Amino acid sequence: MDKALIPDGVSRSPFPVFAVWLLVLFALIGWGVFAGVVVLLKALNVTGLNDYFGFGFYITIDLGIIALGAGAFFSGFLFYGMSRFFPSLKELYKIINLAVVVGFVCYTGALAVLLLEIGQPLRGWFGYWHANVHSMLTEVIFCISCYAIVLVIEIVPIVLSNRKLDAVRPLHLFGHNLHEIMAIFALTGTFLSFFHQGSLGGVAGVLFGRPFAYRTGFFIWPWTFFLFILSAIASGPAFTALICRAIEKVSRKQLVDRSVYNLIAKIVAGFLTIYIILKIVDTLYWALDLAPGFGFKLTDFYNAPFYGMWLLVTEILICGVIPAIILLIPQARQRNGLLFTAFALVCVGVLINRFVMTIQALAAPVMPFDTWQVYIPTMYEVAPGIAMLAYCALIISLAYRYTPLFPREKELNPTG
Amino acid sequence: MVACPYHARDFNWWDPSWPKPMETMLSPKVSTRMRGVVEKCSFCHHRLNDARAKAYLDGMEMDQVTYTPACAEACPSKAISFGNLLDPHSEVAKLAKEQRAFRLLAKLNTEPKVYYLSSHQWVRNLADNSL
Repeated sequence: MDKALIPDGVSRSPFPVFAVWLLVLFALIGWGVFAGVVVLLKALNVTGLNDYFGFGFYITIDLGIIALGAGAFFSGFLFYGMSRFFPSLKELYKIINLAVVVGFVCYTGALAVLLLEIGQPLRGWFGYWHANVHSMLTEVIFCISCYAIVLVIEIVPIVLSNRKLDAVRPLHLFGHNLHEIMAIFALTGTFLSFFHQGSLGGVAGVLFGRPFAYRTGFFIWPWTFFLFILSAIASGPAFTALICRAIEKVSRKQLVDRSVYNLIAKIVAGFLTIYIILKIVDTLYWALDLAPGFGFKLTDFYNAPFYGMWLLVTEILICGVIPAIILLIPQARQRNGLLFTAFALVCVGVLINRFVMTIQALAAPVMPFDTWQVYIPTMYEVAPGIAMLAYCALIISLAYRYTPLFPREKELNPTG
Repeated sequence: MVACPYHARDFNWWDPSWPKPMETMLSPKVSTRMRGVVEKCSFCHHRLNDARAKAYLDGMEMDQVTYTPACAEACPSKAISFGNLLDPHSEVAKLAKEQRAFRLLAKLNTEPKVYYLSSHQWVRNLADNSL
């Protein structure tokens, strides 16, 4: 039925099957939009947020999805910026389109959920017009918005590569010329991403009233600024590889050469190792020096079962050290089971990190007569979050079905 | 809300609503703001503005202005003293330098301007989650 829109020389699932999948996604998105509209109309009292938890489910998934979407900017930086110095990075062209699409959906989805999180959404523009120059969040809002614009520009050539659109000569020329200057946008995006990924860490690290999250640092930047950048760089390409693998599994095709996964594994291995070493050093410094200086012991910051020490062990050891070891060993990298498990663990580790730096930081008692608080999100928070993931799946599905997302697909699947 | 460890800030989760007769107790100088706004104690900033306006009309120096916030005025046991901490002759400056004076979470370097007085050492230790 939509054969005319499907790229030349490749096959896709029958349209009725795809339509059923779309229906499921639209149902989830519809549920999320309904919940979002209720939040906009009735305000945040329908959520699980309260005076203890100014950050909750929305912010946690926003931070998580933005970290996982970092594959777009970092792959772009490596391919457009570094491949002239390291020719082996040219392999990334086989997956760069997917990385851009993943980045696009992650950032646009995060911006949509962010609208729900603020107390007065109609005054959301205050962040731009009445910017608080002393706030890390100002840097976040500007850089994320500018980077979302960059991603929209980067996705235009991919959309225009659809064969029906490509047949229109002006659109073909526009897309082609845009692609020629893509390096400028990629490097601009790298600059913007460096700052907003870091600023999201800075938001937590500057809170000297919250000893769980507070860190000293370098000049105006707490150490969490740099740790958030590194963790995003380590997990972003891993997430892109996982998405690619998921599409391969669903479509039962090989979409990229094994060499691409090997390259991503080495990149992730290197940056994850650097990140986890610095993270361990930072954790030790915080536990043994910084927190005691504020009158706290490490055990004051953990409270089983929800906020137990298992979170620290899982984040650093299981989702940091172990995948780093797996990815550093060439024989382990060659085994798909270990490779993608390691990628998944890296992504989970980053999500745990974002959770503890937002929700646990607020749950931990600070004043002597405070108690541990438990945060439970309501349906009006979970639904938009799931809708955001469904939106991501929708756009990726449409991009895979109707655009030549993977340049090697035809050669790797000669029978179609 | 996130930055304050003292729970000194409240978020307006709902629009304020006041039953008819209770509206008369509202001060015209302190607005009850709509949902989505964060509120906190402003040390009766409106009273400071009134005092400064009066001082200006009377030809007084602005930094000589004193006023009393509503809580200090209302307290029946005079448990609250308010004033200029930077004025060494003020009562609050003298009280803040007493041995009994302490602040909550002073070790966090939040520099709160609220001092408490207690002659019990365990109370003063507790204020800082002492090890």
